[in-house]
Amino acid sequence: MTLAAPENGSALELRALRKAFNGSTVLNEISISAGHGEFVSLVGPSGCGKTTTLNIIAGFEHPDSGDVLIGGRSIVRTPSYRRELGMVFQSHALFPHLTVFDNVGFGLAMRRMPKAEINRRVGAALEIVRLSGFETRYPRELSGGQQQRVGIARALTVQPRVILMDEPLSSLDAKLRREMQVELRRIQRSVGVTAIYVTHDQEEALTLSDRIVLMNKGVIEQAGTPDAIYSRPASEFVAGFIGEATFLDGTVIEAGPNGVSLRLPGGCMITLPADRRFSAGDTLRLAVRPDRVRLDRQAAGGLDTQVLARAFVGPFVRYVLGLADGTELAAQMPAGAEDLPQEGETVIARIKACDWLVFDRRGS
Amino acid sequence: MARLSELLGRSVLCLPITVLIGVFFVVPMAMVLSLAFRPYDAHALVGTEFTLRNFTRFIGDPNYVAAFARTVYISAATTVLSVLLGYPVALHLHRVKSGFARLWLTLIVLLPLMISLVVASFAWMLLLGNNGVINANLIRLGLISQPIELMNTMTGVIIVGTFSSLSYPILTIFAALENIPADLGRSARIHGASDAQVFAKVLLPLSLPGVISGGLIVFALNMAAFVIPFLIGGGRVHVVPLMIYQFTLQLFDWPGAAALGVLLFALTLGCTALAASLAQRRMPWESA
Repeated sequence: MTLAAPENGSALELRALRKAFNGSTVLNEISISAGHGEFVSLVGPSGCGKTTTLNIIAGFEHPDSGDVLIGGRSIVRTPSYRRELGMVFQSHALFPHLTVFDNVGFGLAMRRMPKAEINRRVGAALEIVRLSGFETRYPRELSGGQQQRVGIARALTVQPRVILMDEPLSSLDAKLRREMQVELRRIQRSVGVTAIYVTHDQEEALTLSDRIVLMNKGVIEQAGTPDAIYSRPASEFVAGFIGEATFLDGTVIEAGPNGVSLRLPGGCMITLPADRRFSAGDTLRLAVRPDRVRLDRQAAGGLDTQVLARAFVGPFVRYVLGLADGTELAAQMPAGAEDLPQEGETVIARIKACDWLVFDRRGS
Repeated sequence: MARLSELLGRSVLCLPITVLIGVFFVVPMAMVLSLAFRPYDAHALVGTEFTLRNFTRFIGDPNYVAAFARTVYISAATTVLSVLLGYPVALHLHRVKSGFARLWLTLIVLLPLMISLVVASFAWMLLLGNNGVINANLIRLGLISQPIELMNTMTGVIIVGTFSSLSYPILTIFAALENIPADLGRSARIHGASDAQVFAKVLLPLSLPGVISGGLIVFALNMAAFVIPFLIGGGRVHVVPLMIYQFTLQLFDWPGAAALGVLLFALTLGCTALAASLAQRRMPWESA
């Protein structure tokens, strides 16, 4: 399948969307753009505005102000059915009274396309989602995963300029969900369609996306590649929402050209790269990812901790460590590593200076 | 006794209504059924020997066959009209968002059921008569010169029957529409269906069960309707329930009345079963 949209410019652009329901602001100046063939996830806790954003793109809701452009043209006044979009729903939203063939060919039949063309395109779409041979079944005769693949095929046959996905995998069980993530990515890549994917599952967003837009309370907290968002979160909220992190408060003891010295709870000292924003006496919010904490027993240049709890989780062993004053710190070691510390042992937690995520407390 | 409780299981709570139906419905119906196979006796009213003559005298008589056909025709026409007129109301009720407006609309929809049919029929007489509101106004507007005969005609019976039955299809279709997930409409729209197409391809087929059940209720009620044919038909619209009334209270031919009742019941059941099975075939997604 090919896309008719031109290759220059962005496939989808949202400009300063605002939306309020009954006086409470749901979207506040949301601007997002997605390039052709890009997979963009809108992520955030419930109520962050991601679904409203998707509904505005779909035309189910109208923004109070702002604009939606597809292929460079404003569609904010175009009714849903002329926007040439495809959508995959959390509830699958298959038509129970239509066969798989008629479900997948629904958009084409609505466009009064010739039978032969419908046959060809439905056949191709079912092949892509690996459901050839299921044409005459009714949705209720299919499993959840199969139903969602029919939903994906239905959205693809209309050759949409953008495909919208509203938590399409969250009604599936965990194992099937992981399989379908891989499947979704394969399909989206092979078709080359621009995708906007709404999810509250940060792991899913990290796995699938070219770019993640993290929303909270109607504003964009951060937008960037999964790697950038994971390793350089712009705020404490982002660090807490995407991936895991332990948060600590550190007091700046000395800030100079050689670095910033901080005292952590329990009295440990750490030194971070020089940063002009901070001066002695500031309290900084710090975070560290569990996978960036290394444990060993050599006593030098680390935090003195005690293993409070450990849990085996397959590929990893997870630790909860206690600093001298009882503050907890999460760590994670590969399960295959030799001589893993046991509960109650005293260990040194080493964290590279560059692995500390630093948030200016006064700023957040 | 142990085996009885095993048989009933949890359904023991249904016992009171089972007894009630058993005593006040099954027993009298069985008596009517047995009555239908007894001869009419001019002295004792009901004879004792077994006979099929009650059935053959109606089935073989073109006048009675015509009355059965008339009853089916009136009921079918009333059903079609109620469903056609009721559907848009159900759709509107479905689209109203405010709970307050819904409550009031539902009450209005239920109004015809709250008014005694005798009272409503009398009101309709004032509307439908040759000098009634409808004819008087049509004549005044110059649309007609002679009054349209509505009273004492099948047309009149169908009009009033439709009024009295309208609530049922509105409620069943409304319930069916409410059961259609909102995502289906959205998914149809986003994939290219205009409002008219969303209705024709999604809402209408998925609300068919409500259309069918509402229609069957209206049909069954009108097959057995007495008050409207009696008052609006003015004795000139011969339907089966009117004849049963005559046989029972005027001719005292109870076996004949019983046979008519049995035939009417069989006909209603047959038509309903036929309609239901045809509908099933039109909705392959419901079974299989």
